[in-house]
Amino acid sequence: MSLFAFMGALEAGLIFGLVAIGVFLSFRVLDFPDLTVDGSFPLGAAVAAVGILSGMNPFLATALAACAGFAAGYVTAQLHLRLNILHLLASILVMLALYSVNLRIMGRPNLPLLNSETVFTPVEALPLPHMYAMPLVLAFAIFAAKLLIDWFLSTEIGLALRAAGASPRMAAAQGIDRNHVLPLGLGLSNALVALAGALFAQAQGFADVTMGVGVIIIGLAAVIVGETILPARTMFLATLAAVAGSLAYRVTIAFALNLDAIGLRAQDLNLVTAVLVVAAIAAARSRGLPGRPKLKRRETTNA
Amino acid sequence: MLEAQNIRVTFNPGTPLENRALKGLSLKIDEGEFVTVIGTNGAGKSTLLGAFSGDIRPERGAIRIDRTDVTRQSAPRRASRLGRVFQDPRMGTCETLTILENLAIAAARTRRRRLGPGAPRAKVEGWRARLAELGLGLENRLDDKVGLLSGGQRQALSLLMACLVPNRALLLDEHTAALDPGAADTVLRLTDQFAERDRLTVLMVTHSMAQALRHGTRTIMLHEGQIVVDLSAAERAELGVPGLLDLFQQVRGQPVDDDAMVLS
Repeated sequence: MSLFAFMGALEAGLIFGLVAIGVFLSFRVLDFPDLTVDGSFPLGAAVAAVGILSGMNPFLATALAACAGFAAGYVTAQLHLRLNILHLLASILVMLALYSVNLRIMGRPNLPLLNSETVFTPVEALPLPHMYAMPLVLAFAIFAAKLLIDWFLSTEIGLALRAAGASPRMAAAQGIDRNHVLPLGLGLSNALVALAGALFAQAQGFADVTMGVGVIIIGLAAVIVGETILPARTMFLATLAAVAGSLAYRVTIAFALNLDAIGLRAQDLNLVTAVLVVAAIAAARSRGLPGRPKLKRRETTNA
Repeated sequence: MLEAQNIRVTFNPGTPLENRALKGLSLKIDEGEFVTVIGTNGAGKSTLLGAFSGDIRPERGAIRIDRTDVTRQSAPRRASRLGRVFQDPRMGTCETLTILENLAIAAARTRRRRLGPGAPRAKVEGWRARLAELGLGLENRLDDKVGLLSGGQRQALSLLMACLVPNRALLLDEHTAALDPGAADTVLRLTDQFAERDRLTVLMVTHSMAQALRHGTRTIMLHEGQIVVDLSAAERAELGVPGLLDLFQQVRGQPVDDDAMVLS
């Protein structure tokens, strides 16, 4: 694999680290399998791209994208809570609706950003080749975001969120209302994913309505791979593991696709991803880590 | 003060499985009173507790806490006035959080949660002192995950979490039934200690007649969704377990076949 391809993989891995933290929040912290992310990732890209092309400050456009993601997660939570729709179904419905919403926002399926000012324009001013500067700047930004999430999860509201996901009856007895914390948690999760979508579009130089396909699996793969390579005892390590998992996933994929001896091509990406997720779950299972269905875990520990 | 006024609860109404769990039950528990509740399986003990806590909404009647009508309030809203301990020790605590984090959640029960630190340093020493009262050495394990504790330790922590901030009332749902005898004694002793010191209003459901008579200031017996016996402290003392058993058999019109209730 070339150095250029490796740096590209790091860049994508860091941006998808945000997706991994978002998926960690919904799947692990809230115990809510949320597929909205396949829609909120391109939603973030679309909002940021349209904002930038209409002359908005790129940082403001990126912040706006995160807000749009929050709204998407909020809607999923309300569908589940108010109408009692099954969590998976509620998130699939929002994901489906977002496809049309994203097309409406963009006006067409693809928006190029090639000569526009983006949040990465200041990176060009650094006395470093673009290839190295991007991963470096992103590493700082993603780590800051990770620390912010860690801090949030240690506040009174953050602890309430974690308790509501892990032990709903204890949470209710302690005055924590699921109707309040779930929309907040899913909103936050999808805001992170939309932020990743906005950054990815600006790094790649375009927003595309199909760029969300499979994002949920990539995020989940990152979380599971992360848990396998870095079993976490604290929240600091858990979110770090999610980002590390995302990096490991991207580098592995890039390596597999670049290895001529195996004969894999770019179109095999989704197959390789699926195989990698299955392999990571199997590895976690044999080591007794999370990653396998919860019910199974209880059965075996009680036996 | 807790009050249930003529409450009726029916599970699966209008179906072949219809079960009238509470049939127009009324109960008034004064400030500082410690009421123990006994009855066989299906008598309506847990349903009564659920009606007070907000888990079960009665189809008729009213629930009041300190003269405020809370009949339509959800369980999380009522939690600002009520402390609760469940039968299953795993229910009252969160096993993926540390002891400190569990206490932090309990400390914010009666107020709006903020975006400030969950466990500020200034508060931790006070919580540590409260943990030390349990006498289980948990004050040295603040950063341990609650999942590492034994059932008895978790239940003692649940009790502390239910009493950490001032309560209008404490609801205990057979909270020692799942513990071994030693741990059950510890938790009961702590229950008495907290109830006496904070002059708590307590409603304790139990499966054991001896336990019902030994603790609290008043005992009621439920049968088929109604209160059939209501004994003051003086009346209880005279009766003892054999007397209570006789009374119970008179009311039911058949012998008690529930070993756990008689023997434990």
